[in-house]
Amino acid sequence: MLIELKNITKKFDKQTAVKDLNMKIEKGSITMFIGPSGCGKTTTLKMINRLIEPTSGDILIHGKSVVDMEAVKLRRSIGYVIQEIGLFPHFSVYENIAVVPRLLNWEEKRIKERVDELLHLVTLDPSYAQKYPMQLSGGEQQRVGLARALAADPEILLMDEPFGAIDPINRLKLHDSFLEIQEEIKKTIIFVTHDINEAIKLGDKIAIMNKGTLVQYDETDEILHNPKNEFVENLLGRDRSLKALSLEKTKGFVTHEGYVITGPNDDQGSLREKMKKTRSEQAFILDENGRLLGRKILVTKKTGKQEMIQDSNPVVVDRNNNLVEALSKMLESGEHQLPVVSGRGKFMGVINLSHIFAEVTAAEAKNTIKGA
Amino acid sequence: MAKILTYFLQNQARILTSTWEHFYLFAVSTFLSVVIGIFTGIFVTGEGRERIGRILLTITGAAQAVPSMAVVALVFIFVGIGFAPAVIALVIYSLVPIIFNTTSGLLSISPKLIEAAKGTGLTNLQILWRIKLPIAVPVIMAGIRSAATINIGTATVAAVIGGGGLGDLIYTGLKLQRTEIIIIGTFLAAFIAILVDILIAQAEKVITPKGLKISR
Amino acid sequence: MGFWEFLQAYQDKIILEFFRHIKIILFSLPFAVLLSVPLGFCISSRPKMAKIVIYLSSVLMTIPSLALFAIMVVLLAPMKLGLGMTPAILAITLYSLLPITRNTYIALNQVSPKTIEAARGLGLSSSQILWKIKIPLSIPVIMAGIRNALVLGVSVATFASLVGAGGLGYFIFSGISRANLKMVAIGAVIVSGLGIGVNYLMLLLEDVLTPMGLKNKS
Repeated sequence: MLIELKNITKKFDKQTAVKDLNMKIEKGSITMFIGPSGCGKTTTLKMINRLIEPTSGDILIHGKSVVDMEAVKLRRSIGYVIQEIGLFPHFSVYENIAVVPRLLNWEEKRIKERVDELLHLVTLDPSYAQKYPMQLSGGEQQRVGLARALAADPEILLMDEPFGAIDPINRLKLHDSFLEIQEEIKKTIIFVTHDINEAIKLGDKIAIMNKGTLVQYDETDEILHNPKNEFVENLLGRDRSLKALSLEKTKGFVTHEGYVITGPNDDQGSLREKMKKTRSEQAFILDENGRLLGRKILVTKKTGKQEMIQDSNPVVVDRNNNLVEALSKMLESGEHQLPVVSGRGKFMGVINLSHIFAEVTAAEAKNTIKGA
Repeated sequence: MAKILTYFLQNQARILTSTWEHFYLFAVSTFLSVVIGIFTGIFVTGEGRERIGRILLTITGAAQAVPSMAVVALVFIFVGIGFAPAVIALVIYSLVPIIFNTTSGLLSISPKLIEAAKGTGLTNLQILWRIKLPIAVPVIMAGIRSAATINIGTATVAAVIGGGGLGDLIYTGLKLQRTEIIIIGTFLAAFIAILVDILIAQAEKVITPKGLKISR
Repeated sequence: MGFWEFLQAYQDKIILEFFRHIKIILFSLPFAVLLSVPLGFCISSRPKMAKIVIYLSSVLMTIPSLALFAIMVVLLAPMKLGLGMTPAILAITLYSLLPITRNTYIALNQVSPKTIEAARGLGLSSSQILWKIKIPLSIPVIMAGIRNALVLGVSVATFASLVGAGGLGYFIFSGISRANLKMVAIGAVIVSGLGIGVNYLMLLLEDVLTPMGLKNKS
């Protein structure tokens, strides 16, 4: 158990923001706090790095009470990300990321290496180091915010509605790369959100709060299938079985059949042969690093003649996209098979429409059994 | 023209002394009010004192409408005549824009930004030096600039209460109806004022953090 | 002589100089507004010219007021206008150039191009856009410029007594030279009150003239 909240209560004047909260947070997991505004989720988050002091109760990290630690030192050992506004406007991207390492008196050489490493991690070009926050888009600012929080390699990351100010399309992209990054760094992340879809997509566990108390705290899957009461049901909304689908990541449904892989300069004739033999409709063109460059489709004309068409900008699914996202991409593009790529554009295989339908049927069955 | 030249040549020593006095009066009082003003601004915007800051902001906002001569006159009543009273008058008067701008500059920084700094593990002192002050620099510098303009202008007035300087020359000229003295005094006073303004504008450019100058 | 007897003895003089002070400012105001507002309009769509005009007027502003008065006296002497109201009015008008012109310029340029495009899209003519959109949206900022000019005017008019135009400066300057502290105090307090009062009244007027939709309701 990494973090433990014990009988935490916080009163502001006479109002109780958090009431007798008890919970344990496991190492290496993402815990999402969600609830209506004023439910105490942000207050709880801020008590962990002591931006707010609890009125009573105790918070333990590794079994040690945070109250016994020096507040400033504690905060340096915990990453903290808030909405984009949290970047220091007078510091360059480099200086923003270097804030904590400098506070910890790292050598400049080590800082530089760390900044390069982090920019790579959050998929920003190294040239961004010298830019200023005002020159970045909202999504880019948020990536820098994440890099800054990770600078001194903290074990815990607190995130307070970090993607709240980002438009929906870029938010989805940030979610995918956030999950990709978490796969690499495996931090203990506590994430406050007001968006139930975000909570379901990112959370290993979800903590639902209302009026200062914890309503339900469980694995995401468990919450979706067994909401504890009406409040949770309403929060989840009516389309629960569709939402359950969104728990499944594309990467669990990747297959390696029904297509052909080819290099950019391979012979057309032999490729056509290969596709016919495997009954594949498309061939994916990869470069020497396995990155997807485009695809070739075999189209049968009215005359019965077959023709090869090249598509250099195919629709792709990120391997961290959930099944709902993959499904909607298929519906939009009219394809029943889409290539799956990693965050860095590497080809992983394909996902088929039939596999998604199979999962829907399975989920329906599961809900019906539980309901019965 | 000839008269101006003759007076200038015959009274070089006095003109030089007056110019120096003028500049000295300006420099001493501006330095003092910058130091006192910025400290006051920092103090009243410290954690838990924001209310005092807002009250002071209202007071200094209204006080900016008080004529410079009134301040000189009031200081004369309480302190009397000489160089020190002149400095006191200038400091009091130019404190107003510096306190006003420092306070409003520091108060206008988004609380979210301060929270981010705190959550990152900066101490209060580090937040002040590395975050708050650099971000407020453009506003504080604008306050210093108007304080300097005010001071250089009021320095001329301070001659009335024995502050010396170029104001002395101008008064003498006005009293004696000697155009050439007025012109020399005025020209030098205006020249120093413009020079100081240019210098401060340059300093403003240098001292403003680069990230704040960029617009999308 | 006690303070109250002193006040009574000087009552008439105080009222006279108070109104002379106001007269100087009120006489300068139309000149200042009629010169600066059109100038601001004129440069509003010419950024290069605006830069020059604003720079020159800011240079004028840095000239110490006493020095500016002295220049007026010298320049106007050949026309026999060196003493009295003329130099005072001229000096105040010149000082008003920066605050009013700059604010007019800023005000007209701060109206969002989107708003103007929308107005054009609805079929308003250029002059309708000016009168119905630009000017109402600019008034608060222009008024703030006029307020700053007036407050400055109160301050500058103090020196008018040095060039024989009277005003509250009379008490301060005569008081200092006669070492009459009561006189100095009366002048200083009244002129300070006038400055703060004018500022306050103009703020109220600004508020009244600001279109409802632009007011911050917080």
